[in-house]
Amino acid sequence: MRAKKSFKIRPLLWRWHRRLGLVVALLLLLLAVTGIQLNHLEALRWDQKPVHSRWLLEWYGVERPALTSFQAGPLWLSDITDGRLYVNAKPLSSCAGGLVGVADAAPLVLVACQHELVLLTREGQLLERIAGGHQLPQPIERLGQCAEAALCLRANNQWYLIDLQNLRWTPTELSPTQYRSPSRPPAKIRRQLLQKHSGGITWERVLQDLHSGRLFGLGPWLMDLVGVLLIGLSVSGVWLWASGVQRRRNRR
Amino acid sequence: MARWFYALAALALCVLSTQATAQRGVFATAEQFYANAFDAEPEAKMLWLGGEQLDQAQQILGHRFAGIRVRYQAVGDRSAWILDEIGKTHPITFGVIVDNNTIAAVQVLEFRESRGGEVRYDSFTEQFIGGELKKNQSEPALDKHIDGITGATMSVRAMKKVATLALYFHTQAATVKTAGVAVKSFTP
Repeated sequence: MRAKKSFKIRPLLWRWHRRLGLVVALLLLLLAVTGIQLNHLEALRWDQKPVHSRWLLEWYGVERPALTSFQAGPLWLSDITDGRLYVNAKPLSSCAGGLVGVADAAPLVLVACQHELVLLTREGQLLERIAGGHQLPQPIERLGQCAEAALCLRANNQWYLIDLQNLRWTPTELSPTQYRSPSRPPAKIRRQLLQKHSGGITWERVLQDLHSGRLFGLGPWLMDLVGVLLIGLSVSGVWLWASGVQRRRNRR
Repeated sequence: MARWFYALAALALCVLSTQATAQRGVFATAEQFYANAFDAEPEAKMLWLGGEQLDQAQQILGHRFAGIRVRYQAVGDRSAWILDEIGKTHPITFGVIVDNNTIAAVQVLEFRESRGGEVRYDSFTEQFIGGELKKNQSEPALDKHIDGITGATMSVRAMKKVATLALYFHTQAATVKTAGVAVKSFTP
């Protein structure tokens, strides 16, 4: 009697075991592939690869970036809010805090970001970054030219004369006689810059969201469901194996 | 029971956030670092990096060195370098003193990360003293083994890179004719 009862359940369980397996197979494949990628995140450098796909960025709610550009001779120095300084749409250096000003430091070009200064040659080659360790007044708000061809920067509503030779910043009561304002770069450079924007979204984030199922817009519930289905598969699988063993014993 | 659990969780959060804040800080300015590095008044110098030096710097750091010149101060065969390197996400400012091609001291001047700040303690930085570049190697490398710190892997890695880079720059400064300071002062 006992064997007949389990015989009725077995085909039903087999059918559902196969159906569940099919349903979760693709999602399990996704879990496995993304899981392996996440296990080797640093080696594969997914955390350093920004997403540039516009539709993916829009899915994440990343809007088109604010563009800040200054012209210095033939150079267009730009910032697209990703912490980098672009020279003619090519990334050149970090620009911690965003671009705030550009000044002529003949024979060089001085670029001010909120938390660092960047020195370039007139051809756009990176000469030097002046960041930590030299007590640079921060956050830099503006860069200008004070009286008698002295460059100055403003931080915390105080103007400082810049001594690039000794990296000294001397508080001054002088105000700038001139400073550059941001301007609109040519259309080609604007287009190239906007294509580079990633809003801080890296492929690490996308992989994590794929792995958790959040990328499909269902929060964590999708993978929770996969988990429940896997539990069902495991239980049904073990039951089918055990009942198969029992059947073979009964036949002998 | 729930009340004491929440209280414990809140306390843990306070402790952890305090720890994170305690990691960050400015521990020495450039002036203090240079003042402690030398007995006599040092000379401010600039090392200009050519293609080969930039390639070697890239080998050491694992990424392109930002810039083509490096400031340092020197007295005789003793030099002091201030260099930044990213730990996990933020730059760490290091000061390295090299004396006669040997590391005399490594110091954290400013730490900006929320963890890994243990690298600034003498018990860790003392390991670097006496370190030199390995001989007869095509790529510059430190000749000393440095024990890591659990939870500070990236900071340790950054410090090792900077120590090696400073040693390399010191040897280059000694062999390459260094330019004087090329940028004019802009103070009136």
